[in-house]
Amino acid sequence: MSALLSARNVTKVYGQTVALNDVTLDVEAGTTGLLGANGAGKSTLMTLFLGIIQPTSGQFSVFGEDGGDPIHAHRLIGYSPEYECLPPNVSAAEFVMHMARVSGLPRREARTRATDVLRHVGLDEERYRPMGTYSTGMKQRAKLAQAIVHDPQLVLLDEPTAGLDPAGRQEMLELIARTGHEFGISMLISSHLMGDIERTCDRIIVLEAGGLLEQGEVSRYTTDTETLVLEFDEGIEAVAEALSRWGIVSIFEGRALVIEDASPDDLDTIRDVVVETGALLHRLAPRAHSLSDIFRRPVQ
Amino acid sequence: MTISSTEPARDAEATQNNNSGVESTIPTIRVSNVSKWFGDVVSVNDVSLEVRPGLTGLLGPNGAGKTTLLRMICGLTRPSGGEITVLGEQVQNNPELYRRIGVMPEHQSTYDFMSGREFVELNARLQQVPDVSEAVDKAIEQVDMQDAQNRSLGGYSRGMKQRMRLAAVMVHDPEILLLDEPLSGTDPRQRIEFQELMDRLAEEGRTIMISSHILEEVEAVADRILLLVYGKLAASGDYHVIRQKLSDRPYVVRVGATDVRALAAGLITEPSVESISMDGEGYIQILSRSVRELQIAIPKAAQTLGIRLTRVDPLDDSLESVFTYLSGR
Amino acid sequence: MSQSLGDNPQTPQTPQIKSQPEGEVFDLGYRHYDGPRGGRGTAFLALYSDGLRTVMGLGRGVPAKIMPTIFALLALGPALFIVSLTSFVTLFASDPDEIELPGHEDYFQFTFIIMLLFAAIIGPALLSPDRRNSVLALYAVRPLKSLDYSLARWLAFFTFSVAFALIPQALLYLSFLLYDDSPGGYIKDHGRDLASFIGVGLILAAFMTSLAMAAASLTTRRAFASAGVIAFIFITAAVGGFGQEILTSDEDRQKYRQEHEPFKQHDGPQAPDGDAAHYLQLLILPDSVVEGLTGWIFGSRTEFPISPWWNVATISAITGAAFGITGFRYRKFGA
Repeated sequence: MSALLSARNVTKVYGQTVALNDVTLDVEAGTTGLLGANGAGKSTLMTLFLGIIQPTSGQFSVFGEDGGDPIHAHRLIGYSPEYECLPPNVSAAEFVMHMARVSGLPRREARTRATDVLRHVGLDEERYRPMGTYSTGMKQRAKLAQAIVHDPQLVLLDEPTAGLDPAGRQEMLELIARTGHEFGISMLISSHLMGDIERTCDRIIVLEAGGLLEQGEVSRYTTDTETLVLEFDEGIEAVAEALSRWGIVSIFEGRALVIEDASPDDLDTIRDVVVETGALLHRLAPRAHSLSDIFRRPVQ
Repeated sequence: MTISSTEPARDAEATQNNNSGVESTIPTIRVSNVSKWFGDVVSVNDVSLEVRPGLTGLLGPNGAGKTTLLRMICGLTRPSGGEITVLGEQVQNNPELYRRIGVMPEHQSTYDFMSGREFVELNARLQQVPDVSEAVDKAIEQVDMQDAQNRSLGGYSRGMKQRMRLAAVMVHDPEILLLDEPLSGTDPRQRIEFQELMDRLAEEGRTIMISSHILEEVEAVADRILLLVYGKLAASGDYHVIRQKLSDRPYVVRVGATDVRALAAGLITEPSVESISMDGEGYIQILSRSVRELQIAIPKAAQTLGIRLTRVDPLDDSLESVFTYLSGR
Repeated sequence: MSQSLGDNPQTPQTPQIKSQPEGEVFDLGYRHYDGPRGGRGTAFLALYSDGLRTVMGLGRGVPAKIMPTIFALLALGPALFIVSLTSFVTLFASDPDEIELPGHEDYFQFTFIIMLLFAAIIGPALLSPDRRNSVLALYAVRPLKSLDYSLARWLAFFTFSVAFALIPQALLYLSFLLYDDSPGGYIKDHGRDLASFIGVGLILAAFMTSLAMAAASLTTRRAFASAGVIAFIFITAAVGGFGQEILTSDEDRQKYRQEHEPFKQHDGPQAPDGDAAHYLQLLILPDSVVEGLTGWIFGSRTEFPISPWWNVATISAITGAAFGITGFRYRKFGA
């Protein structure tokens, strides 16, 4: 499957700062997360693929075309920048329709598409009010709406949860997940929060200080380990002691009991021990790798 | 930490030793029946709480009053009602006390023409730190910004600015640190380093309060949390304990086993079980309102039926779900 | 299917067409778009019509409509006044031909100021807010090439500038026409007038639009751009005026007074004979440049210190430079 976006040895230099340093990566269809700190090069990479800036050196291709023919590519791509970009005195309904028209949709279709898309992102009566009166959550939704109104194949979202409180963030991530999976639009989501990526993306690209750190499937980084973690609301010491009598070594780690290299048979023993001691079993689960492990490795 | 709140005190004295192992009985910050209103808008509504040494997370939805509370604690605003004492004294007009507090607000402009080091030095001098150069070195080292310290702030990325601001806030070695969204703009690696730094500072006996929206971060760093909702204190303490006390809230557990359907059939007869459903991935999800009974019932049923339990996972155990539940009430 | 109880099964029945109950659930989920997609043309048109709406303040709340309304009144008001004056004079004056009524050319003097204000105050609304709100980034990823955006906005404002310049003039023309003794003859005799005011109107519109767009493209704040346009005119006027004074020797002045006293009906700018002063004035002072040009086109002025083609050159140069600035500022935009 050919990648939607490709970069080969791309470097971008602004004066003294190296924003991107010899980066080679591919963005495939599906939901891809672009993880990195502010200044790691995420926005630079995005604006590069969008044709807003040119690389200092290196090649890139967009939908298979070298350097990306912007006219063609722009029909297939939607973009929601990180910063505020909505005119405050215009309503979302008018603005999204206008954007649809600027993307080439005829008037009537632009209006219907805008209406539908605004419904899908969850803007109801608010859509007729000027966008300057919107909360951050509504603004993010409006930005998403204008990015998908022309039915692109790929949408680039730069920090879509910026400025949102936990509830708003949760809603936004659900909307993004829906857009990717239900609506069938590929997405490239950049964020400096791992939680954003974990909750929405199948694939991940990690940038650090302008260079590529990792790229791959999220599932690859979140596999289970052989280590078992047990948590109890009551009775943890009794369980640990009983387990040791059965020859199972467990270590206390905070409020959890950790068993390394647990075998499947051990699970039965654990179960029986729990029943015997009457401990209140809160959690029994293999410890999983997490994305944050990428960052615990020493820097190359 | 003892919490006196407007709700009937039900929190047992959980063994909240701070990391240095010493039981502190003197709260560093005491907030008593504090309210703050701006005209008709009541931003903070009769809040009482205490903050002890260690790391406390201050959470709440937008507009809950967190920033107002922090401003009152550092003396930038007067409470409209009630009283706040820090280290036993009133904060307002108390320069000696200011020296012992470090505040990092969420939005702060920096003098972009200055170098990072100069910025930290400026703060050191303003706080009349005795040995400026040494203090600045130490602060910059703690945030790992030695390489970039002589570049101008205007050229820093956001994460770098955050770290330098943190150094500036720590340069006078304050006992108390109030940080509002300190992690915004930082990447996971920097956040891990930040967590380690915070742990070290807390171990030294400082009182650190961090206000943040990123719950998974707070979860990892804080010993206890304070949750503000609509200007009122909704919960405080260890969130696991808090979770347990939300007994009227449904509890959802995901269970994996060698024969989930048989296990489900066995458990459905339990009175503590409200409902069982299959999720798409081969696990069952059990909904219950009697946590304790269910925790006993699951392994027992598995044992009786000779089924191997492979996984027991409470689904709403995170700080996030506690938060969502409490903010929605 | 449905037969009432007690029906005699033997009796042939007219089949009762009671249809099966029907129901349908419609998929309200996200649909992909398979419809027509225009290219740059559609996009250009959308930017153009959005520009028109911006000038008129449509869809942007009530405050945005205040200025356009004021200007509309300002544009038409005097014209209507002259029209009524004309009718009054025609109907009630004893000898209408003796009375000099303001004509097209005179009107342009007034219009120039108003158009300037219009361009200064409303023109930047087409470019500055988009820059300020960073909306440009969203346009940058649409199928547009580099000049499309700025040209579309320029044309939108030009449309209104032309309307501003020409509609009142057309009103005047019509009124003169209708109040004349022989309308047919009027048309024949005043063909030059018609062509002139159209020509001058277009030139003024292009000039004003370019100035406003250039100023707007240089700043994100509308107010600064407005101030910039006005400042440009006033500063060049001041420079020209001072320069003219400085460069004119007393001799020249006296000589000029002798030659041109008493003044004719056209109170144009004081045109001393010094060459440097000529060039300075006629090339720098936009309003006198415009005046000279207007006079030339309308044919009311036959004497020129220097060839009026220089005026054409100046106006073109300023317009071209302004347009160039705009294009340059937006060069990186789009493809």
